[in-house]
Amino acid sequence: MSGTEYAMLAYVLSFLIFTIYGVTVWIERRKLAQRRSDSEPAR
Amino acid sequence: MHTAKRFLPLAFWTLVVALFAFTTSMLVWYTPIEATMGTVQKIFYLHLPVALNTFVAAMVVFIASVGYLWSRSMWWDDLAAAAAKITALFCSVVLLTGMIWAKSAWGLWWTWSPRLTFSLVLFLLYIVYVMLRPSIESPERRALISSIYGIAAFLDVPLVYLSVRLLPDIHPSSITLDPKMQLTLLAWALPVTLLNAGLLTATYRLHRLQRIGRRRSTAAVAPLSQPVNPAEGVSG
Repeated sequence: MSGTEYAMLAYVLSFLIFTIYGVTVWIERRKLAQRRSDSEPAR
Repeated sequence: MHTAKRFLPLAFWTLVVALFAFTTSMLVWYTPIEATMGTVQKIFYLHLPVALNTFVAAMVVFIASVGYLWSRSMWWDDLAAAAAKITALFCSVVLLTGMIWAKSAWGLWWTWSPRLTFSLVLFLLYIVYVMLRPSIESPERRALISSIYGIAAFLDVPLVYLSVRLLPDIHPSSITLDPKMQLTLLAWALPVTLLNAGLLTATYRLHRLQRIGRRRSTAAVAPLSQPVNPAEGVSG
């Protein structure tokens, strides 16, 4: 592999890790917020 | 108010993505190629800001842990737990980018040099923090043990920072950058720091929601003689 390919690999994998983490947190928060609103008594 | 609450995170993440797009294009078209290492040196513009933000996140764990021991407020515990996850996340990227650079520059993925070893220890310390928390059932006990652990784990940060200066190490201790390279490094520091702040805030809110949810489900089965303080849920 060339230096350019190593650099691209590092950037792509890093962005992938950050994105997967961010999306996981976002989905978890949405699920919890949804569950919370479902369990709220009707006003 | 409700619209602003929804619009602000969207605007924030759009800004972060736009800044990353800008700094990446800067890296491709503006930043010069380093003479001895070649293109692979460009990993450095991500590696260093992420490493510095790992230290910042570990510092947040430390401060929040002290804050919990001082005030016994669960707000601090939620913040410490969120920051520990961010420390482990950022440290994993530091190790990954470092290993890829090492493979290209040194011809090996890993060597047990002091800085690399202390960085791996830092990663493992915060992974253990994140993994052990759910195994402690009582929230107060979990917060107390986590706080003490969070303070002790931070002791590894100065070791990571100083190891390359005090001990013989293969890891570069400093690098000479021309003005264009310095500007690229400064430009990369901004979106990486914003990413750190954004992910920390999102994770903290998740922890707070989880805690409120757990307390509500406990309150639903608790006898009426043990009311749950509703004000705690608002303060976080």
